[in-house]
Amino acid sequence: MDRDVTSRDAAAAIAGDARALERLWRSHRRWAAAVALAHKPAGAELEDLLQDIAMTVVRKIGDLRDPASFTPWLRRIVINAARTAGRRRRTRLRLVGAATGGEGALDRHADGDAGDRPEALAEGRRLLDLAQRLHPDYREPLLLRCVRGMSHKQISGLLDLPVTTIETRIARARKMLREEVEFEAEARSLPVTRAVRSD
Amino acid sequence: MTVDRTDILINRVVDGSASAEDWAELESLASADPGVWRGLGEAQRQHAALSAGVADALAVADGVEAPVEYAGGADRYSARWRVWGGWAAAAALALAWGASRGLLPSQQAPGGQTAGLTPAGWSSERAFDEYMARGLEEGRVLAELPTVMVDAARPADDPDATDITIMRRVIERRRVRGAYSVGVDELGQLRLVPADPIALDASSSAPQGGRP
Repeated sequence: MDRDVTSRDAAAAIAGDARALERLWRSHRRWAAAVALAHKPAGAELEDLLQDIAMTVVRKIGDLRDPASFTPWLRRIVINAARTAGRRRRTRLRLVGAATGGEGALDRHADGDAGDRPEALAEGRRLLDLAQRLHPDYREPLLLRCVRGMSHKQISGLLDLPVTTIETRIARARKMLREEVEFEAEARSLPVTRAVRSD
Repeated sequence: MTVDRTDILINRVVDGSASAEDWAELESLASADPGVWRGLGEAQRQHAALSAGVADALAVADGVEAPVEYAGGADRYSARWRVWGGWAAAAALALAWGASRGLLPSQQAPGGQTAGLTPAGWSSERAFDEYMARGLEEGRVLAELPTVMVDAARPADDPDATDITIMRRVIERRRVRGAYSVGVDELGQLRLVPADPIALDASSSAPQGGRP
């Protein structure tokens, strides 16, 4: 996510260069997805959200005045899309067997494929679920830090916060996540009625 | 919740941003409390696992491309719909013209009831089944797509049920005579021009290729 390259591509995209817009989207869609993941409501599908975001970017890029402000502009689009998804609660479902007149079974698409995956992912998914309990102010930098290549400095630029604030928020988020893990472990080992959070 | 100096140092190590001074300070803290090393190991393990979970969740992003065929902003996007609007208007005109020439089957029965359509008392479901069966026999209906798009879902009054809004998709074959597209003459006025079936087909499979 080189700032000069981003600004150059953004300027070209604003001028109507479709290839530049394509490059711009591809180089930013991972962190945009991470921001969406941090802000989206539980019922919203990440893929649908990203489709909406990509469409909005394409339609609105001509309105962007300063190419250097592409990154915060995209983040605003992502957060607005996540909030809108929360209001609409739009879900994509699939009815199986409807065409044959059989009993329709609802099949909700999950963000990830629920099929067989390496077991190592199970822990990561569980942690990601637990991270959803954190406040977005902490969840967002924490998830962005997990996007390959995103440094504290880049996250700081994206969120428009000092690097020290980002560092502190990530440290705090990790600590809260550890406590969530411990709470979960304790809750599993105790009768349900005793697993009450103290704070 | 507060984070102490140890947390900050551990996080710097985890993020690969710890300086030599940070390491020295961490070793000093660990010499007094060996639990610091355990905390570091746990933090590294957790970060690796969470990163794997995030990478897995974000993999979907790689499949989402920017629909750059719409590039150019709202004006061009609207233009696309104007093209389609033109075709839709032309199709409607063609159907109306065909009906006026008696080229389309009449749906009005002598008794005023709609022939071949919903007799009184049929449920919508039965009427739809009949439409599918007759349509398949006549070659007018080719198929109903096997998946149904669900546009919205919300809890029903019955706690065990869900109210859904769905879209069923039926593929039909229509024969029209004299298809027209909407063109613009040299004065900028709309004019109907005979449509080239090949161009019409191309516009169906590649919408942006439609004739303005």
